[in-house]
Amino acid sequence: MSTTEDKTRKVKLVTSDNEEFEVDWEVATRSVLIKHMLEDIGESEEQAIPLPNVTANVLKKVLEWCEHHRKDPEPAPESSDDNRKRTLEIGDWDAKFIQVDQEMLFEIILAANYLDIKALLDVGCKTVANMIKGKQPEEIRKMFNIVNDFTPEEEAQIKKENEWAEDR
Amino acid sequence: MCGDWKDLSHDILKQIFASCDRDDLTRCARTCKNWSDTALDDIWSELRIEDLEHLFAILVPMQPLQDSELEHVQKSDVLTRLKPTRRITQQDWRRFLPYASRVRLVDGFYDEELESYRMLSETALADIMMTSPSLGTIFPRLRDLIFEGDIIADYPWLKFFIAFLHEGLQELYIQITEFAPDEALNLLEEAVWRSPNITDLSITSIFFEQGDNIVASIASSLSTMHKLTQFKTGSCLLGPQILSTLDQLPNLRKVQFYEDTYRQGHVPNGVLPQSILPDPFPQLVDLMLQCSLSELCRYLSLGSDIAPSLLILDIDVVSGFKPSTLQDTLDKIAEAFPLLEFLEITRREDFIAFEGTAEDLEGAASPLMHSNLVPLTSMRALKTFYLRCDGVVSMTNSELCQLLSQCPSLRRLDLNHEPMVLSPTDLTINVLPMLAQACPQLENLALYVNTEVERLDPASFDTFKNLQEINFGISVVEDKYLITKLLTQFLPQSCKLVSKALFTPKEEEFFVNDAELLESRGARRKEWGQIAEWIPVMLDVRREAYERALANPEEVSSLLKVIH
Repeated sequence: MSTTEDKTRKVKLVTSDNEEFEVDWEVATRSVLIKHMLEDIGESEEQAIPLPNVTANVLKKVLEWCEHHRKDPEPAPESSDDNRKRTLEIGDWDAKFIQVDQEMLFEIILAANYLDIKALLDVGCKTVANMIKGKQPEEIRKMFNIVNDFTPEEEAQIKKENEWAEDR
Repeated sequence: MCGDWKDLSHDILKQIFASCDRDDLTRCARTCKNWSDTALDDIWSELRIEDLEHLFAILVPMQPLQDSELEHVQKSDVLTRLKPTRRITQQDWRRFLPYASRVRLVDGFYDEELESYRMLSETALADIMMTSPSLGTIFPRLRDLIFEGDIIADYPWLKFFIAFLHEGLQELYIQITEFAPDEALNLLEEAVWRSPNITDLSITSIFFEQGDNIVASIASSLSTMHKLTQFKTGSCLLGPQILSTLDQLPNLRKVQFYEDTYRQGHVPNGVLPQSILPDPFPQLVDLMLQCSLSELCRYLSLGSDIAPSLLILDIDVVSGFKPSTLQDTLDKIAEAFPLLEFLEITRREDFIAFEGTAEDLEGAASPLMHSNLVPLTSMRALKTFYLRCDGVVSMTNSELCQLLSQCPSLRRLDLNHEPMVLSPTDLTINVLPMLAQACPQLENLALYVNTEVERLDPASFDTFKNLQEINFGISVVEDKYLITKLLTQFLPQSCKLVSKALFTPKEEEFFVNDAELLESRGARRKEWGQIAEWIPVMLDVRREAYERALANPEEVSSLLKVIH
């Protein structure tokens, strides 16, 4: 159980490139995945948690975020789809934090998704949404290095069929 | 290695697109096939009726009906009827179905502001339904259907909506209006057999009086909806017939009769059934009702196993009650619902149509005493108790502490912080340090207290560690400085002092019905609002003093004087 003694507890994490990180329990458990893993292994504190999908340079960045948000209240469990907000607001600290190159942004999103850190995934996704805003398909492809797998005809047809939604 | 944005999973893309405008989505839909799939899902998942023409235009090009073709239908200024320009081919369906199967919700809200609706003509609709390869349904993955009875008359909307009913439908919202009650009731009847998997049903009705035949028709449809887990409707449908139908639905978990107030001309029935069958509401966990407390007491006395799994009970009380009636009701509730976690009893003055017993009405203004609330101590799982009624809660500080020390699960408590009838209370603001000791687990606390205290009790070092919100409603503020000092001493820094009114100004006006009194209630809240602004300032000052002291230990002794 999470009690006050957890505050002093340290957690060891091992990345895919075999680097070991030792962090406070409170910081590590921003990740729901790690939290569940810790609950599984119980009190055997020495055991390191392997994170085969995350590299050291990405984990370092993710932990920086977790450290800053260590005191944040737990998010409400029910954030259903129907009240999803089309807002692009990101906090000041987060906005600065997420000023990284394309590749790191991509890796942070994947890591936040894998580690189940909802608030960080949200920051990443909103950043991408911000980058997409107002851009033409060709610009989006260029920005994210996406190969166009549509034929010109297919692309034109999708445009035609969805035009009505543009001016709503 | 640079990550491949093109291959992002559907879930991540979905979250990205959730923050995008429709405008941006239509462009994302053209970047690559993987992005396109998720973006189109988002664009087409929820449609309003005026969007449907665009969907049908994908199936086949449409054109308006000619005047000569309009002989047999009612003409309309708002509605243009469309028909296909050519025969629909198999290839058309192949193009159409991927779009149609993205639709999860159809919102049949009729927007009067909208100047034109372009809909399929009756014949075109019938033709499309006949040739559809997806077995008579247009949207094979539709989960959620909203039918508003305001819909314009000169089009067979009912037929149209019936075409959307299918086995996969899970949520149905129906609004019955005086304007076209039969259409709505027919849709419900059709839904019963076409969509047997509906789990959530909402019925609202814009009626001044609820006709018996309407209630009977709804009850008859409900009685066969065995998959139903949630039923939500206005209070004017609350009555013996509907309740007795619902209590036999085996999977029902949540029933809400939400309050339609007098302002819309709705009068809740408030009468509960005279008898019950064995094991009513076997799975019910969440119930919201409007009735008098004595009516609830009577109903709960009918049997011993009413809703044994109930966790949440929310009662809008429609008549004044005397303290002993509350006590009896709490006793009955404690006995009937051993698992109860949430209990709210709110007196709705606006349900003026109801008269309680003369005795109850006379006693409604009397203060509620310690003994009236003692049954709370037998609700072992109770986490939340909100009481909003006429009279003040009056007991000594130690009585309240004693009471709450026997409620170990309680986290949120409101003991009528905005009473309608003001009379003195024995409870003083000095109860707070005592409560911090007796009931340290509290997260939300709302009390009506006397702040006219000679001095503050020496605060213990106990603080409400978990307290997030505290609210003194319309308690009289005697000495703002003294109160601020007290609150900063043991409230945790993250705790907010709330001074927001419980009811809307309009509701309050109705309850209080006295301009002077109304003004003084507002003024008291304002004073609490001011204290809320002072608290962080005082905390800052104190922290600076601490920091100075740490830098200069000699100041410590003088600092201690400042604090105490």
